[in-house]
Amino acid sequence: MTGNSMKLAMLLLVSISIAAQSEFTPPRLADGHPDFGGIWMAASLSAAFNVEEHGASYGTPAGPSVIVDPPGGKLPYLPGMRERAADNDQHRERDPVGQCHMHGVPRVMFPPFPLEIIQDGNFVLILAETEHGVRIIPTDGRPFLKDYSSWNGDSRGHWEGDTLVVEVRGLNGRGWLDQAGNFMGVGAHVVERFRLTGKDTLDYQATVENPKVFSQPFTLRVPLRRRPADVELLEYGCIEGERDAAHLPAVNGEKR
Amino acid sequence: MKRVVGLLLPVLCLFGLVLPVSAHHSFAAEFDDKKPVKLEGAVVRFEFMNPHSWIFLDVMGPDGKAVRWAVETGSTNALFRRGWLKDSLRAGDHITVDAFRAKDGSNTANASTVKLPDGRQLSGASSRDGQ
Repeated sequence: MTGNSMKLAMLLLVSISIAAQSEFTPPRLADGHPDFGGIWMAASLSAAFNVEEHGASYGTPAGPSVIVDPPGGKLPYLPGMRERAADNDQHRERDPVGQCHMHGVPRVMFPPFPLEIIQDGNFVLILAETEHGVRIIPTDGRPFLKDYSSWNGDSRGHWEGDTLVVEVRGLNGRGWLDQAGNFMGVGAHVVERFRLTGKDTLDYQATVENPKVFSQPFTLRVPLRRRPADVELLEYGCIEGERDAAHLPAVNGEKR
Repeated sequence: MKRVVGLLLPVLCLFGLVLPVSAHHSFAAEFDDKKPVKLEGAVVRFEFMNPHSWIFLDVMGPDGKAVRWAVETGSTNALFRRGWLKDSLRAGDHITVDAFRAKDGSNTANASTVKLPDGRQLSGASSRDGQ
């Protein structure tokens, strides 16, 4: 195949794939919005290990970057911040999740545990098996809470066509992005976009703006896949038997 | 065989038969993948709990004295999805564990697989594994 015909073939494939995507008609609820209901999980655990491109390490497999903007797939850290992330990577005992804290947005959307989405005309609920995290996302236009701060922040949703757009404020700035120590700081503002791309595939994108840590906003993209019908959310009482702390080098700088 | 497994894995994943693991904490926070260890011994106690379940077992040392090991496995939800129940192990059961030792040199390890007395080999739902 010549170079040109190869390009043509690729173009055709891409066109077919785009056409297939845009032709997908999502199932709808009575209010006319797409029905995201079901049990979902990241199609790959790669982002949970590291949102940037990474080689195989510590027994976890290699994976591509999920950062789709800026181009190049690197987190746009301010000077000095990448060094902090690298230091976190050497001290994974600092990971808040390892201490049974909440994952925080956006990390809570791609942990190695399933999520359940339930919705009606006024709310979209995202139930995370991990830490029993509950995100209650009003879609009825109510204002944000005042001076609120928490791991998963305060979410407000609205529909743009068939895409659910969720704005998240009030993040406490303590959340990591992955197990490799990539992190966010205070004042982070996240805009998430959810869109069904097929019967069993939900496209998830999050744009993070956090001027104290990053020089520009970045967007990550993680496809979620519907879990088989027999998968149910199970209990996960994280702190009932935590025994790791005694063997961790230090927790928040202090030996327990 | 490798080729068959290579072909089979994506297919199994597609049907959700290969379950994701419970990576509550990063494996690297506590364990060393350069220090594999095979432990054979008698179960003292099995704690089926979160965020990780623990198997305590006595491994006979060369001097004939039992050495107590603590072996970490996955969370109850991750283990349940792999066929584990809270009474899958009972005191006195003879088991074989493939694991990785803790970095701190203690008799603590993270299990990849556990061979039960009935011959079944179950995944430890280790925080080391990926999907």
